[in-house]
Amino acid sequence: MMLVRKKTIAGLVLCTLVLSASVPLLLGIESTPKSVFGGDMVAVSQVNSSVSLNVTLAEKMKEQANVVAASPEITCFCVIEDEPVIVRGVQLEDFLEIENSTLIRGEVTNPDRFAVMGRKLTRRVGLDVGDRFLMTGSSSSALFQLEVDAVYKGNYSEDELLVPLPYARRMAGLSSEAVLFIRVKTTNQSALVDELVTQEAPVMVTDNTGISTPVNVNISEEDRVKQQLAIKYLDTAKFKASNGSYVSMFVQEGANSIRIVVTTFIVLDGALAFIGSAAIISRAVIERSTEMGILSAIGANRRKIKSMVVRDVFLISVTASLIGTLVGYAIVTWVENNGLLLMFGESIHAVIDANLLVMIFLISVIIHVCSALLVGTVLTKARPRHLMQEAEVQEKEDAAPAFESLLGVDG
Amino acid sequence: MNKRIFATILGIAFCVTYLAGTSAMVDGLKETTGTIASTFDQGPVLVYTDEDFARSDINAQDLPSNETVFVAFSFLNVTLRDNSGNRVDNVYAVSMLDTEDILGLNMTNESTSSQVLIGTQLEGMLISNTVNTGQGVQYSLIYENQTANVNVDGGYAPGSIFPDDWLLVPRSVTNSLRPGMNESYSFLMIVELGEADVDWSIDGAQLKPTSGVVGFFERGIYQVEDDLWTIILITGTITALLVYCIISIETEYNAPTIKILRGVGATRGFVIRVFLVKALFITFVGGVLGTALGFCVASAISSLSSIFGVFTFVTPVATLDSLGLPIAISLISGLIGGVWPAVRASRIFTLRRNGR
Repeated sequence: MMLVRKKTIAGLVLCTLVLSASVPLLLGIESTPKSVFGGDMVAVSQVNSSVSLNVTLAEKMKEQANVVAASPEITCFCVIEDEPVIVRGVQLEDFLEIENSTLIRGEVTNPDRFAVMGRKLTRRVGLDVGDRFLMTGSSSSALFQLEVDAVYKGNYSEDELLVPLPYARRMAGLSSEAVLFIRVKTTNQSALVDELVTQEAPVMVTDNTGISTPVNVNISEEDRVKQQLAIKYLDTAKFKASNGSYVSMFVQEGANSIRIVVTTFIVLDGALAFIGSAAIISRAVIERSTEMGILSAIGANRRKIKSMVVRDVFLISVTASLIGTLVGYAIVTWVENNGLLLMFGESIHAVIDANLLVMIFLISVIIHVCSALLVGTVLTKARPRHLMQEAEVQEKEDAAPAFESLLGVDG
Repeated sequence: MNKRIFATILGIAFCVTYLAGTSAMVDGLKETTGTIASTFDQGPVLVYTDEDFARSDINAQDLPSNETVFVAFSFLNVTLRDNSGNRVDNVYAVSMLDTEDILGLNMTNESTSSQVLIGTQLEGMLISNTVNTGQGVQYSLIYENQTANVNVDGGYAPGSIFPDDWLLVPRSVTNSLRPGMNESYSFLMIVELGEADVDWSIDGAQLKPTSGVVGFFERGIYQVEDDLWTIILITGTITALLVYCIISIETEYNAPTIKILRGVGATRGFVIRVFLVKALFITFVGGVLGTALGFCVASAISSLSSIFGVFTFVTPVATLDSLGLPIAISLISGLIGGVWPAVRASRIFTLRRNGR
């Protein structure tokens, strides 16, 4: 016999949904900048703003056997049609190769003056091939009148505007030949680093997990400490484009604020799931107070009833958590595929992986069981005699004739 | 107040804590962003009526006073042809009024500034299209049915605020190509607004700073804010269901009381009113308590973040949304949660009384 009714599953699924539908999106909000600037590649970037990275390094890297593709890039930030847009200065062929992207509309006839928009960006700003628009500088003042030459479809982001490197240099206030980072697809990262050592240029190599390796950085201990602080401060894997300028303060502050808000949401999500779970289980247990009274009357002690409640909730919660996690996964996937949530001009890439889903499932089960323990402890404190009396009263009420028929008055 | 009602209020308060804490944090994020963004200098400001400058139109009478430092541009999208008949489309021919010589090109007076300057990038584009280039070379500029001839005096230095793919021409050239623009400009660049022009504005004009990074992050964080509101609304629906659940449990606990009230002659309306007031009281107290608790939790997380090495200035902010939304959601769901079980209980009693 199950003390907790199976219909309780619907409520517990809702509680799991609180976690499974929001946590991947919330984590995605925090990790989207990283995916924008690195993707699943290795990024070679400047050590600090005083040592610029030369675009010719990309050409040298392309000659290495372990390098599949290399794309020198500069990321800039501006507002187009009142929408925040990431502008990426690129050598178009290199970018398309490393991203495995293609132009789906229009063509680029002049490699020195082009504007190629991502497919999602065209929808967001309402521009398409042939439309002219105004683009301003990023951290430096500048203005450009550009025409959309083509639209690209990409594997990582379709929310960006691609322009030639000289345009991006002007926007970011960089010197001629300078780039902010070179994204590299490599078959052997160690060999890449070894090769970079021979190039003698001081660079920072950041892999897709965010771990940075300084290369050719030979400095005093004092400078090293300062540099470590600078690297930590700039959080290089996330916002390379800050270029060590005052803008990095704004970027860092923004990133921290988002992290705090996201953490607050996740903490409160967990609390909400727990409270909700407790409320639903309470309701389910109260519904069965008659049965609990009968069980008490025939000798079941508090511990026995409590263990029955916890066992039933555990069994139901496994199913509810599984359904809730899968439904949450479907919701998150749908939201991501339709680009419904945006941040900094990029569609949010929800964090969906097996580990997270398993973790949500387990946390959900734990929350439900803890709620059951709490509810079981509180509700089974009622005296068996009282429960038994309640059960008797209920049975008598159900069996009693209608009030009016006793009075001889038919309603 | 008995223990059960206290527990009910506490349950509702915890649900409301979530809504109040998250919405206060989102409002705090918005305010922090706005405050930080307003402290940065974002460079000269562009004033225009259309992002396609060839269609933008600012009337000359609307220009600011002499106290304001500004440059006015007339912009045309022309076809350029050399003496050999080679041509390039989509060339930007621009004249400018720069009375303070901000751009250092001596185009301070439109009536006497007669030099024609070519950008280095435009020169490169012309060379790749086998168009003649060099000092003194003559070009025909074609705009719709109008044609104007110009002789290039030299190049302008790369790296100025405007791009290197423009052809700077005298105002007389743009006037002859597009006579309709005689009394107007395409766009303005305001470098410093004079005191006399503090309230200056042009109907239908848009403003955009020439440096976009701060605007980007400001709007980017506002997008995050919208996303978080979406998540709040989704979870708010679930919260509403939970509040309903909690309050309906409380009401169902009182089913015997409903039966007694009905038994002694109380009407259904009276019974429902009693439980309506009770539900409203419980959810209101729970809502207020939860809102206060939400602000405390959000403030605590914000303050304690430094322990984990994350420093932020974002603090929860109380607005009509962050105060009103949680209480409203708890009241509405509490109302339904209180009334519906009472209606059901009284109806069941009526049916039983009627022997059905």
